[in-house]
Amino acid sequence: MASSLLQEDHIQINGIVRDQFEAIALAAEPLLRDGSITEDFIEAAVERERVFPTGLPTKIGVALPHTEAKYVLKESISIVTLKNTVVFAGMGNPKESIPVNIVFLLAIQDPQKQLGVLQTIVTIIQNEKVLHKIKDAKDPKTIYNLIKTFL
Amino acid sequence: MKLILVACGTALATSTVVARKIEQIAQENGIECKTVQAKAVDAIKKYEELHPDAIVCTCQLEGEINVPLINGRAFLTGINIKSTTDQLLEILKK
Repeated sequence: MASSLLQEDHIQINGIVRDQFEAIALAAEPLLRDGSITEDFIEAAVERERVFPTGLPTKIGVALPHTEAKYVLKESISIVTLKNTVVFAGMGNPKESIPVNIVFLLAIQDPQKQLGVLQTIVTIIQNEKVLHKIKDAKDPKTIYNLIKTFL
Repeated sequence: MKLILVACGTALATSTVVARKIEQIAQENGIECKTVQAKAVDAIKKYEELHPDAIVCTCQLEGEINVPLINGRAFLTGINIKSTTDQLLEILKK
């Protein structure tokens, strides 16, 4: 079930972006390509990020950008590791600057149904060792296989 | 029965995880507790409607709130989770 939310071709490594908004757009690319999200998703997620930022000050900074269900056609998650950190504002604290290395983009319609996968992401971001492995992964397959062990 | 309002930007991702975590903590401590999720923009209205015992949020909230407001981010990051859990338990046990 939950594993179908994440596909290997939704994972990108060493992304090069100038800012958090480009990071969201990059993370959304594979989902847009395979029709998982509407074209408006990116703009909506960027807008939401401005108002309700999603950066988290975990051992390796992560961000969990997402937006409303109406922009989601097929529930999916994508992951981007960034070559250089970009600053996201802190979740619940927009004045906080958080250097982020890993972006988990969430395209979710039914959170109750996807609770398992959401909890998996939370388990992963609380695990410094796993975050290091994701950050240092040399290919998407490494990240995919690693995350699959948690699902 | 305690009622906790859980708010985040879209009431879609983070508040769902946080709400389950709160219910789990309550259950582990033998406390009856219900959670209701709200989008940040609806949170104050829901607060006025439902009179929860506390609000746990992963977003900034503006408005007049006369119950404890707990930052639920620790339930996501695991950072300082003990103090957040203690803060919650203090309310649940009242």
